[in-house]
Amino acid sequence: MWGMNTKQAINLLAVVVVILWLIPVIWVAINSIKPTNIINAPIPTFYSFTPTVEHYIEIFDRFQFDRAIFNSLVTVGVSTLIVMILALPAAYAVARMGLMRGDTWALVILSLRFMPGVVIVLPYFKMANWLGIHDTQILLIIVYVAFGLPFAVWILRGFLLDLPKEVEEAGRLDGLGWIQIIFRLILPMAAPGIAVTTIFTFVFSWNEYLFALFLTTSKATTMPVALQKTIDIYNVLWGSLSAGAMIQLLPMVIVVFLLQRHIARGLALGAVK
Amino acid sequence: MTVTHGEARLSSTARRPSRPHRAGAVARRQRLVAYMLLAPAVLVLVVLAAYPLVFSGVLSFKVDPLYNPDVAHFIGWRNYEDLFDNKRFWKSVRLTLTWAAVVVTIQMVLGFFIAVLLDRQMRGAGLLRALFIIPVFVSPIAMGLTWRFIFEPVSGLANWILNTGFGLEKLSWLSHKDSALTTLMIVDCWQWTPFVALILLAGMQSISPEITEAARLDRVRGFTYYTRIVIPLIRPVIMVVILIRLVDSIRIFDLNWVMTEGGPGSATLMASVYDYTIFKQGHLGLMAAYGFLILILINIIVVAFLNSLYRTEKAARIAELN
Amino acid sequence: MSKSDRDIHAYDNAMKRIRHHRKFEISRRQMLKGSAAALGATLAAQFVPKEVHAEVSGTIVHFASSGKRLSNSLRAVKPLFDKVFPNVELEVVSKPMTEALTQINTYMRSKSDAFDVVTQDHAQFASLDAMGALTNLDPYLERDSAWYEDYQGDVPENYRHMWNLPKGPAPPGWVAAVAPDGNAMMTFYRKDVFDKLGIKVPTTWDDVIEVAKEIHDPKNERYAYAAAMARNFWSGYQFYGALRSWGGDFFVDERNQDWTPACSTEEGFQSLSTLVELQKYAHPVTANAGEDEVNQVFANGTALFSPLSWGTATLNDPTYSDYHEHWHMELSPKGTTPKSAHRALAGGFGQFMPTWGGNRETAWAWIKFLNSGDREDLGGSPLIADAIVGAGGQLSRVSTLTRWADRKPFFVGLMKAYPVSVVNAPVIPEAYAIMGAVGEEVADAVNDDQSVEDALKACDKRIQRLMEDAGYYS
Repeated sequence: MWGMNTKQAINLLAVVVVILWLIPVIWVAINSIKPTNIINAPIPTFYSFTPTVEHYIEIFDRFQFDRAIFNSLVTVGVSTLIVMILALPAAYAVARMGLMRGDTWALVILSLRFMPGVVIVLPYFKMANWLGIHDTQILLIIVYVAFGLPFAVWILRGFLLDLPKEVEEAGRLDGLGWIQIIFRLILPMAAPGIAVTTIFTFVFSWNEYLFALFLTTSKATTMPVALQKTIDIYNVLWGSLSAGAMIQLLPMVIVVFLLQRHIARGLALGAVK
Repeated sequence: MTVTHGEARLSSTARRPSRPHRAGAVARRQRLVAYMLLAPAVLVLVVLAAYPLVFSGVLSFKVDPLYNPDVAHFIGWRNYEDLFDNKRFWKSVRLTLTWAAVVVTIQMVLGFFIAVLLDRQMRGAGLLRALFIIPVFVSPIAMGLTWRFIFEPVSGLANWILNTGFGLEKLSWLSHKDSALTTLMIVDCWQWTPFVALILLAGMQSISPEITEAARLDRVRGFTYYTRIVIPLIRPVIMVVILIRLVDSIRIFDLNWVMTEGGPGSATLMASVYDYTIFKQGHLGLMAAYGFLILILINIIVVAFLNSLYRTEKAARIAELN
Repeated sequence: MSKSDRDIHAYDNAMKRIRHHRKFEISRRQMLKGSAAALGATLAAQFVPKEVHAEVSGTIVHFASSGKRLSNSLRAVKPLFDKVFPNVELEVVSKPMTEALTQINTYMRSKSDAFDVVTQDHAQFASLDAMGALTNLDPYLERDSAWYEDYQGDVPENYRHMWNLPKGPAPPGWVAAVAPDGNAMMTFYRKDVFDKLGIKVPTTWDDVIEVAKEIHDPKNERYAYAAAMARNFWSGYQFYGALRSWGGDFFVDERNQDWTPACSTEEGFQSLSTLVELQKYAHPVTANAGEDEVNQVFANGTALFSPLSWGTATLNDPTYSDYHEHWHMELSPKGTTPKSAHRALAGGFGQFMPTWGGNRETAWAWIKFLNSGDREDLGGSPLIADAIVGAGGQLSRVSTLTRWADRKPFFVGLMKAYPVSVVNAPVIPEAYAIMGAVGEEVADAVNDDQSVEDALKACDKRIQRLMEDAGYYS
């Protein structure tokens, strides 16, 4: 194929697939700098317009995005941290420690995720009002921990089952305690799994809408709720919506760039040796 | 730490048979530690899950309109009976199960191939992976609405590309009851295939280099390498991904709500959206009852799935021993 | 130059400046001028209050749905209010429009004390009453009787009585809210297209079908008709709008509390079969469109006409549509039976004080200011309405609509619709539940999933069940 070997061809294929996959996101990015009447025109265009930053300004000015960004970072950041701290030992216990029916425990842990959100959120709303913590960041953190934890335990469990058991046994025989085994042996080996789990725990809370909608009013409002405000009843403010989506995407991309090097071969075992 | 794989294997196999009488005590202590490790997570979840479950359980036996608390009263099993009598309920169950089966299958297959595509040493692979995962990150609200806009049947981008770019007929996408569900599936696969791919990729990347090296020396490569070596090794990860995608696609809400709200007519009325509609109309009791039915449905599916998993895992272990 | 003309000029100039900056400059400071708060600030700069009430103080939290029509209007009026009441801390909070109605119900149901003033849709007021959330405004109105007289003289009667409770055989009851906002379901049409073809705006449903046939041109991607037919409330309102115009209703006689469902009737059949028939000439989005999608296809010129659409300032907004000058609004059609008449569904968002809120006096000062007319001796100013209109709001006061009529064709439609309007839902707590249930059946019928007869029977059955559960028949 045009003087390429198979390997180059596959590399090219990978690049093409990724670019095609991203076209809709690119479309959002373009819409975020288009004047509104051009977005609404009957013929779509990728480039023939004068770019504008008005939507980006509007999203801060009219939709209080500055506050929402701060709230999102705090709530999601803290809850992700707590989730990972709780999930690692739990996943280890379920996956590795020969619990009778370890999967049953895992299932119990997962079951909160089975209910449709709206059924869970109403009791939480009531409880929050009763405790006087409605519209606080703490409330959202608690809820995101509750919903992130099962997911994290399950994914981590999968990765831990993957690891060779011999390493821990050797560690135990060398007189290491459980904590040491987890932190000094398992943690480095399971790095790709932990990185991926962190990323997805983060993203699920980052984009969570229903709980944020019900459990906040104004002080603790997060980005998904602020973003939803760009949907007016008689028209969608496409420009603001797209600009907001881009702003919401940015921290995620940063998180991935920070963590993605852990999703690479060799690093894990290199640390053990 | 100076322990290596080889030593570890040696020492453990060498010592284990020599102390048979202590195996029970070790196991018991190990189990105790296991429960201690598990406890914080379970405790947090029980506290946070118990209250809503009890609350909703009670609610599901009541008529309790959101808009009029005065008329609330207990009605026994009637909410459940009403649901079973309702053709839209059965339609929503059917749609949800079809949906879950189709999208999870497509995402697993496609995700695996893309993971393979990205599981290679090339310059910029990290960047490529980071870019590819973006669909999972973009706000589902914004993305769902934008997809709806893209699929607008007359002047949307998708039809414009089909028509102006390729000279094809414009399609009806979301605006016809026969094509709406398929269109939603396309978007869901677009969003979640990268998720599957990235987790599988992380699984592939944590296969130890020794094994990859051994496979290379044994001239196992290409298709055989993935089917014979990679898939068996990352089976736990694959199973977890299937399970999580299965549960989450049965609970599909965001995209479904933003893009169609269950329409046209009731062509895309899947479980969570239907339940939310019931909430918006104010029928709290009915909403809770439906929530419980979904909970039971998912439990049945997951338990069945896990049981089959157990059986195959056991079989695999026995095969390994032989 | 009369006083109000001067205001219009001042406002127009402000708007022109804003638009000018929008087009050519992209510095943050100037862009900010385009926002509601900045618009309010621009207007506030010209505002010289007759009296300043430093004695009124305290913090009030006002909850309103997000969006141009509601929370934005409030934010635009706030700078003016701040000038008259410098010691009042007013905070406007909002939630997404799409969920705000149920959110307010959720808050009120739990007796939340988070808000001192709330803006809520008219159809929810019976429900708010059932929850005990409404404060009787009569004492405040009696005290400010001159102000109230002015309000009564300017806002059409059916839009004032919308907020009176309870309904039933003994009106008008007590006043639970006042509203600067008003709306009606109207016929939307592209005047340029109708003029060119020499077609008149249809006044009966038979004419509607004829007109749709004539202007339908799918080959050139110009569809005759579009309407918000998304399942649930949107399609419910389409059906209810048609039903009322044929002389039907959800119940045999709501006023005299005969709660026998009445969808499966001649009027119901006519209404639903017309909607199903119209689907032949529909823009494809109609099958599952919310109002936003309908306005989108109106804005891009691919749909030309809608017999029933909720009024909105959006289509007359030059930054939204290239056809902003051509979209005009008229009275919605009526049926052809003797019981038929032009009956525009009336809507509106009113301000109430939740039972559990605080700062009553301050809250009332704000509500009064917001609902003020042009008369400065009563604490009002033309600039208040200008701020609301400029932010994208729509008004219940006829004097303001008149003042703006030449620039907003939409307001002309509103003025025509107001006198013949009827409330947009039965005034019972079950209103929204009924609208949603009916809407589901209607959407299925329009999308060919069930017959018209089956849909109507299902509507009756579901309404009956709802009413039974709420004890109406016992």
